[in-house]
Amino acid sequence: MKTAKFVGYLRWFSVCLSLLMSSFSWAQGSPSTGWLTSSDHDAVKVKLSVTGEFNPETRTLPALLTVQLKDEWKTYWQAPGEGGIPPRIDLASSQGIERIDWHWPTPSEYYVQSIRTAGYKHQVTFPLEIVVSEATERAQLDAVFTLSSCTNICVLTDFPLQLNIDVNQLSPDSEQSFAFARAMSLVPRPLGNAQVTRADYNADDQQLSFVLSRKSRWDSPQVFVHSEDKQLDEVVFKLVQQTVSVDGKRLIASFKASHWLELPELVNRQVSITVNDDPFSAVYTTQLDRSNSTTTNDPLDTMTIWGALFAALLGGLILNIMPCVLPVLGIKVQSLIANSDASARQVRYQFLATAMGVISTFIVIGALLGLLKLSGARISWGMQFQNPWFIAVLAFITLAFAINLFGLYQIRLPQWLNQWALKSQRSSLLGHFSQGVFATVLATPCTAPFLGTAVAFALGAPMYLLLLIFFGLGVGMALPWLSIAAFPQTRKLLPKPGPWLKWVKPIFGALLLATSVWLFTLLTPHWLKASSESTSAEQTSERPWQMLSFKTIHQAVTQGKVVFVDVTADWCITCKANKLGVLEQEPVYSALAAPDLIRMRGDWTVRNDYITDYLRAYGQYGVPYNRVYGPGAPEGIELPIILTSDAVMQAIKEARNE
Amino acid sequence: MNKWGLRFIKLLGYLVVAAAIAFGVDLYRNNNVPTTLPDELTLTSLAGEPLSIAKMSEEEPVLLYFWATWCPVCPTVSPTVDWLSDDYNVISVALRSGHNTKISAYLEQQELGFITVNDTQGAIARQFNITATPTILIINNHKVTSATSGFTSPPGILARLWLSKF
Repeated sequence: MKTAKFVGYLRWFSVCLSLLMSSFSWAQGSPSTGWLTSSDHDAVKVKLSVTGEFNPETRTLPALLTVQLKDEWKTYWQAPGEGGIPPRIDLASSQGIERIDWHWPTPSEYYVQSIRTAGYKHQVTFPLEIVVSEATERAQLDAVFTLSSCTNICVLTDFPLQLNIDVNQLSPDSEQSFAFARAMSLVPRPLGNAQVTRADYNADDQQLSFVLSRKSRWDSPQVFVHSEDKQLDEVVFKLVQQTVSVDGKRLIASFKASHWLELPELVNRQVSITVNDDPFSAVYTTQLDRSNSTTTNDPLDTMTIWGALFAALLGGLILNIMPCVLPVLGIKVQSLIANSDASARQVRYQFLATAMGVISTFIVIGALLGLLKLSGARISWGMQFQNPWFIAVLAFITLAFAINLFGLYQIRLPQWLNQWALKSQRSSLLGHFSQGVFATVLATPCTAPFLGTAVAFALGAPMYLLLLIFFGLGVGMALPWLSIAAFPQTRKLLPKPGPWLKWVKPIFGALLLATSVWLFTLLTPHWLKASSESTSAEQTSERPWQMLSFKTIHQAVTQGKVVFVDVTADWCITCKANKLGVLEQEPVYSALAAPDLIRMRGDWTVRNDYITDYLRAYGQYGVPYNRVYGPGAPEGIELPIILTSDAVMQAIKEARNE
Repeated sequence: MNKWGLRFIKLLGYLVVAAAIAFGVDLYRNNNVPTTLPDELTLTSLAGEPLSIAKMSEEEPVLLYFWATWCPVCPTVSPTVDWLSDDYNVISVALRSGHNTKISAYLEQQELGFITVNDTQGAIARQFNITATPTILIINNHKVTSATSGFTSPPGILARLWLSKF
């Protein structure tokens, strides 16, 4: 009893002591400016803090510069695009500080009317490395941080940054170290599953052309260009065109270079291409070749407006036979056969109405996407299918139509609408128009050959071209209707109406029902997400990994086993790339399944001091981190940050002492 | 009254409401802008000629346009101001945008011909309590009659110039 009480006191005392220690170390160990605001501009606030670490070899102090922006305010990337200026620090009267190296998290693109900028919204943390001068122990930061921020107005704000840093008094703050590692993970790296397969410059039109090839498909990539070359410092690279090849694996982008005074020679210069295709983000530095000719040899690389328009027509036409639209087309043909006594004039008007329904819906979709693009949102074909409510409504509508086709009930328009339609004798035409609208809305989840090409071109093009391409898509899809409208006599070629007609409806009804079922299955991931917070799909497909533990590693190694350690985090994009590109690919996948191998994982998604200590033990401050232990390497073999299957296989072999 | 008459009145109503909102936003955003010109304000253009806004404003309203090379919104407003500079007194102030040669080269590249004053340190903007670009001030007879920031349409600026005379 007495000892229990004593232990209780001791525990309380130790908690107090550690609290005291931690507050003490915060005040002295990792200085911060705290949140700074400006009376001129209350929409932004900034904070600079050092993590408390110091690398005596490189004389660097890792630090975090956090910027918070209200509402629609944005700040800018190192190469902000046309107009815009990156945030910068002027060391002013600082003492003992040589320079500050910036790291830039992957930006997003924003549009002000047609002007494209690269930057950040809401919050961004820049990882900095403050380089302390030789033989300096006490550094005094007395600098000015100039931040530009814009909505539909722009403001340049100066924040004084003052910190006194004594490198001997520093002690690492695990919260700050974690935040630093997290911020560093958002800085793009040269990931292995994509590469620049072409980079050249044409001096005639000052255009740079790039092709980025990737093993998997590009979804909705954003591409940015900048150069670390001091002489190219003030060159502005303006995005001209961006398309994805038909197979989706090649991203083709061209930029126009300009300089306020005189454009320097760009051939053989180094430029960096940053690509953001959430969650994939990477940067590739490459040398610019001289472009061989004024026109590109590969017809797929640069698509002309005519090419895109042709692709749109063809893609739209093919959409008709895709499973999402076919039932609607079928119903239409059926109604044509059933009303074979209708006059050519009537048929012509009906089909024209449907065609107009199709074309106008495409234009509306195009206009909506264009407006979203102008507002800076990320857009893609069929993006509305990410919205569960949209899918649910569409699923119920198709279900209702399918049941209607089975003849279980008749859809009745409200009385007033019926009367309005009758009175103006618009009844049939309105119906035919809405059939066109319905067919188009149903078609959006489908992609047809050529459609992706046309849409990718349209989404990267200015507004009028975007609308033109969507108009082309509409005309393409409406071609069957238009051709019947143009030649109503063609309907004579269709089979004569007969008793077989009563089977047509149920067949197309079944097709429509299948569409409805498919739409409901699209909803299941949304339901799953709502019912359980964990991403169950990912866990089931994966083999179990043990929790990271030093003790287990040593025990296993003495027993002659190999231990593969993977320290990772959900927010770490490089970790995901390693996992998908190497760990889950052959031959590594099988090698990790060997009976004498223990897979061990440290999940650093949220702060975990045990894992932080593990990383610290090897002088690491971030993830991904991989190490292989075994009888051949009891201290472990460190793997490169960006894994390759060769490196992993080689390390496992060495660790096993083979 | 016929149907079209009613529609016209409705449209007029919307325009009045929109103008009132724009006016309100102007007032809120630029409530720190002084109503009279700062004393002894003589500016020097990039070409080196002295400009006295006070004197100029005694005859015709002066449009004072604050912009910057680092402002991605400004290229949407600058062409309108440049177009107006053919018929009105326009003076532009380049806020913290670098040295004279850079600004001259930028203006040439963007094909902007308006008279420009280089406000390297932002001192002129401070005198008017202006922090944001693009901002347009209308000055008539020593008085700042309107101040507006952000996108502005040509009819909007013309209306402000016209209203400044009352």
